[in-house]
Amino acid sequence: MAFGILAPLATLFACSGDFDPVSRITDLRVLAVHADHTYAKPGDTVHLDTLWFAPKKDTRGRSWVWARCVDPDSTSVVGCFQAIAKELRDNPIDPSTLDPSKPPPGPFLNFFIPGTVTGGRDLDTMDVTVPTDALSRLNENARINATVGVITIVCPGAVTLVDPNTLGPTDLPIKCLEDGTNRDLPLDEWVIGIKRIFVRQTDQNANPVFSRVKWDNEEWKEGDVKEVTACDTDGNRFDRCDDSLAHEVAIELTPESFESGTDEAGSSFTEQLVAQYYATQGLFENEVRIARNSATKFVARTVDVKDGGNLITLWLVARDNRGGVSWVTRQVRVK
Amino acid sequence: MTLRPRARNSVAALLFALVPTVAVIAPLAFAQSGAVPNGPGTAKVVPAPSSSTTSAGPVVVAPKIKTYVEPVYPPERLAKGEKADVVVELVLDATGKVTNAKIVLSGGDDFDAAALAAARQLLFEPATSDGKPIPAKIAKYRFRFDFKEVPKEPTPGPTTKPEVPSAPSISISGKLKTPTEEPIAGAVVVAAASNGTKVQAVTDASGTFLFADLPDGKYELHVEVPGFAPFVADETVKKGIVTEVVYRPSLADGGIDIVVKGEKPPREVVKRVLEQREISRIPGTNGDALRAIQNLPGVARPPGFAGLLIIRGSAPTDTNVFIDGTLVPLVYHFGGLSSVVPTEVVEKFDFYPGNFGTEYGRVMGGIVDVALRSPTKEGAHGLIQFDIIDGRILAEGAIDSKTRFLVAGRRSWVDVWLKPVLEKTGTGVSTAPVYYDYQLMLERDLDAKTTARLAFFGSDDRLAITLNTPSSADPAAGGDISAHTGFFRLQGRTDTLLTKDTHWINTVAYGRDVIDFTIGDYFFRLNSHPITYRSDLRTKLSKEIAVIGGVDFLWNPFDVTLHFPPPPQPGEAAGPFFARPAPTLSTSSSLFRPAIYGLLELSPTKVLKFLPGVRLDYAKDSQQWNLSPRVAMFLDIVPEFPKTTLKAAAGVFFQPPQPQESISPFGTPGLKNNRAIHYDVGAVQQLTKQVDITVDGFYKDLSDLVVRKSSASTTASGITYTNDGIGRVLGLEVLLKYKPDDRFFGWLAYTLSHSQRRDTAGAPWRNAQYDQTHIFTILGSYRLGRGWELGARWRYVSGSMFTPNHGGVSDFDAGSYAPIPSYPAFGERLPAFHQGDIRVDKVWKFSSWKLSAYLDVQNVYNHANPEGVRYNYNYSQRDIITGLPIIPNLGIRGEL
Repeated sequence: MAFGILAPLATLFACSGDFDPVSRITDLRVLAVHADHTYAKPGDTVHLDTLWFAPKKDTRGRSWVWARCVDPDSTSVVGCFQAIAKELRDNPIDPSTLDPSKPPPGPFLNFFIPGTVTGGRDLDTMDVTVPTDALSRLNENARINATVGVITIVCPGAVTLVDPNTLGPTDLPIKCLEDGTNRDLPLDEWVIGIKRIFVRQTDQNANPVFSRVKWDNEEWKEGDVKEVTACDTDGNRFDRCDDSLAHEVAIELTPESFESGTDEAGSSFTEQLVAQYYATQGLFENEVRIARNSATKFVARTVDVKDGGNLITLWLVARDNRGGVSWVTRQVRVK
Repeated sequence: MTLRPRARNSVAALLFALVPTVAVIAPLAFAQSGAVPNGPGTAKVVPAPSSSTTSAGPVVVAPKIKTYVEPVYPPERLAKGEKADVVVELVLDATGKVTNAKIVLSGGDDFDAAALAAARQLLFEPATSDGKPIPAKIAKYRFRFDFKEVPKEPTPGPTTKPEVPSAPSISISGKLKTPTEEPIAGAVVVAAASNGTKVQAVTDASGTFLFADLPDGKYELHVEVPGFAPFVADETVKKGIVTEVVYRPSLADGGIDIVVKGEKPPREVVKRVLEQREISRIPGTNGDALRAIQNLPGVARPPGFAGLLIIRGSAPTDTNVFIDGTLVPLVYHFGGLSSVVPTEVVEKFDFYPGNFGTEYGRVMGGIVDVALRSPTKEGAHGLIQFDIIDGRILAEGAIDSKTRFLVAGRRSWVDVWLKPVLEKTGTGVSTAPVYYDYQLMLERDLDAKTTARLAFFGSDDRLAITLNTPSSADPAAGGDISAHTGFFRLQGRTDTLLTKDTHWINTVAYGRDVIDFTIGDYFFRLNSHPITYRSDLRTKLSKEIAVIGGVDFLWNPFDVTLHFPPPPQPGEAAGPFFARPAPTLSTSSSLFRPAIYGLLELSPTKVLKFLPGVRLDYAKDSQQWNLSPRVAMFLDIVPEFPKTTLKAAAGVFFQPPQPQESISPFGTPGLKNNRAIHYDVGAVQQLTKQVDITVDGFYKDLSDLVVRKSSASTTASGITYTNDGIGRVLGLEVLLKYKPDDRFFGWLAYTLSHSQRRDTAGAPWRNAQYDQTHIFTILGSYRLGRGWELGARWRYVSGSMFTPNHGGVSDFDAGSYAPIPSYPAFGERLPAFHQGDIRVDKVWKFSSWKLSAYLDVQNVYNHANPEGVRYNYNYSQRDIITGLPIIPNLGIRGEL
């Protein structure tokens, strides 16, 4: 417990080294998956959208594959993959027998042929139906944990299954072979991730709603491209840039976005909302802020301008801690 | 009355007296025959029997002063009219020349220096044994710097010669020693004649006491030593014969030999004791009591900022910490900055890294029992101390001849400088990190045989901030964050000597434990009210048999509520936790854990000791009865100096599951208790009177270990526990120790160990989280004189284990990545840790108070020690997190 007390402080004081910040988006990345119903009843169909980025110069063939795990034993990311691996072990898929005229096999939501690039090309939205027994299959006291985990895979090449019988407890059952080279890509060169749909009988959760975006304390409307001067630094420390080059960015959410109440299990809750900032270039002073105090600062960097042109895209994402997410996009131009 | 120095120069006068009040002259090389002191600085030397026996041996004649050298009265002191006594220990060679002189009783730096300078020039007629010159030691040679009233009619004649009382005839010459042959100084010995007459003596630094000119007859000798059981012996005095005795009183809590200063473990195969002098001066610990433990063999260095006690490869929860026999939930204030009990109120601590006695149970790792000291029995005493971490105050004193009190408190300063730092980062600070602890004691001698003590002590740590910038790795670590951990205990204790050989201690305590932790929407709240009772009876039935028995009772009702996502199962990454289902669970329940224990101490011969024991435990939470047999054996294969002792032990230890593991709705009812079998074998070898070496090999066989696996589809907590885990720990510990004397203490400690676990049948063996292969510590502290003391420590420790991640996958709900850990867990070790620390102390003594200051510099050569691994946002790159740079801590203390 003593360590627990200091852990947040340790986080606070830990230097982030000179790693590239999570907010800098220069390669293939899915930033968010939005569900129209983050809380759904058994039998509901949920529509999913993605906020994603890929460099225009990347011409490799890109596969989108969607899969799902229902009521996994662990609600962690790895837990969903373990559930899928178990399902594939119990019901192996033989690619040679796949029939595109039939529903997708096993845990998969879209039809794809393992080892081919064409399956699911740029399929960046998906509908998923919550199984009707997603709650009833669980003990009553475990229903608070009921989720459908939706796996999104974006692979610059072909998605392939790993023999589930060779998997270790933390190995992924899926891998990505690069288009053209057939190279087994490391995890940072493709996208695989999870979005949870909370299964509830009556509870609802609305996604956050933006009321406005602010640039230097004034409303920043969509389509309003701001002009900035870049900072002459190639490091990743924000404080190396002169304060005069920094611009304050903030989001505001509607009061209804901050939900609280009592859930169907009888537990009270107060949502935690955060603002996350991403950009194709530049540095944020803070990449994540609590939504009620969301203001951060942004500077463009000269080094990025040389590498990527002078138009920068910023994504401002609001998330709540019950699976809700919304985003807006803005742009700035480097003088 | 006018006080004026008188001396040959008629400006000042010195009075240097050699006062052999408790004079001891002990031959350095061998025991000799007895005689009677008959002159200045002389005494008789008598043979030293090895036990409480009476004898009259051949005469040894003590050295006599031949050439006296007068010390120079320090001019400043002289000018101020200040007086002092300085007592010096002299070592003489067989020619009577002083080969060594050291201060036994200081009179202040300048007085000491003057006395030492003179002492080294003294020349004696050598001590003799049957006429043959021998080396000798004069334990107390007193120089008195004093003034005589200036007489109206100055008296001519030599005045600078020492004043020498007439030499008495020694009737009883005795020594007091601990069970491990350490001299006991400052003890009161009363000789009561049959007609009721009583005379008193006090033991000197070598444990020696003398009674002179006693009439013939029988005497009862009563020995009273703080920390030891009262002791009575009958002796006979006959004129012309020196009755020579050696007494070894039992420690107050034992009645049976136990180890002092970690050199000899008579009942526990490995028991290590550190005392005030060592605890308060170990460099790099800021003089903290429990941080000192980390310098002993078998104790791992915890990861940075972690206040954990890791013993012999076991988890921190496998070790219990007691304060005077009462279990406490916390060892350290946050971050391990300091322990929850300040050194000033600690008499000593007993540390058992394994195979502990049957009076302890419910854990399978180690035991730390902190003994609070008694308040002073005479006068009043107080202190106030400040350093950059905390400030403390203590007051104690005697209320009457039977009652005394102690009040102490401490508060950290960390919040003073950390608050502005936090606020500068944009963090809202409601309560900057702060800790308190407090101790109150009231002690009273109820009668000659019973002492009662009422104690109230506790600790409180708090923090409340608003983190506006949550972690990008897990936004759950943001928003309102608060933490409060605390406890108190109200403890009553009686200590009764029922008979000469029967000792009974009763300890009852009531308390409250609080943990309240909030981070964003998640929280954990625990309130408990433990009641403990321990009754311990120890009696010696004969020279060969002693018995220990007792009851150990714990009842702990508690309320707990949590709202957190389930913890990860082994091999699973811990986060991110943002936007994961988090059940709210609560319960009110209680732990009821009574136990009885017994131990036989059998000594069939003088060199063999055999200690079988058994403990019977019940745990209501696991509904398990456990019988824990334990046995230890000691064999002195060389019983005399330099002594060699072999030792071995084996025992069974049970540890109930943690409450959250076995109590619904958090855990899995029906779990068995964790089980361990400890095996120890070792040896203790005296190298010199001051130095010994202890080597211990150990093996721990662990079974029925509680492990968890995810079960979100079947339980609300999302976790199910099983007893599928097993483990093993193999190790070797070496302690080469120079026991504290008036100048130096130090030791070299080394631990070699390997700790492994297997979580389920069929899973591979893996390294335990707290496995550390090599732990090496060398430290020492030396009193330089003039109030200065200098110490240094150097440590080398194998790096901590960690589970490397081989990439990350996206958690779209958290907007961050979840690491994919390698399997099995804890497959990689950080680079080794090494660090040097130094400590300098300076004491200024004034007539009625003392001022001291210390500088404790940690990491003097500013080594960037690895404390953890840091990853980039998607776990594709990593580097090493390094620990604290060079940290000086300056403290100042005033004492009355």
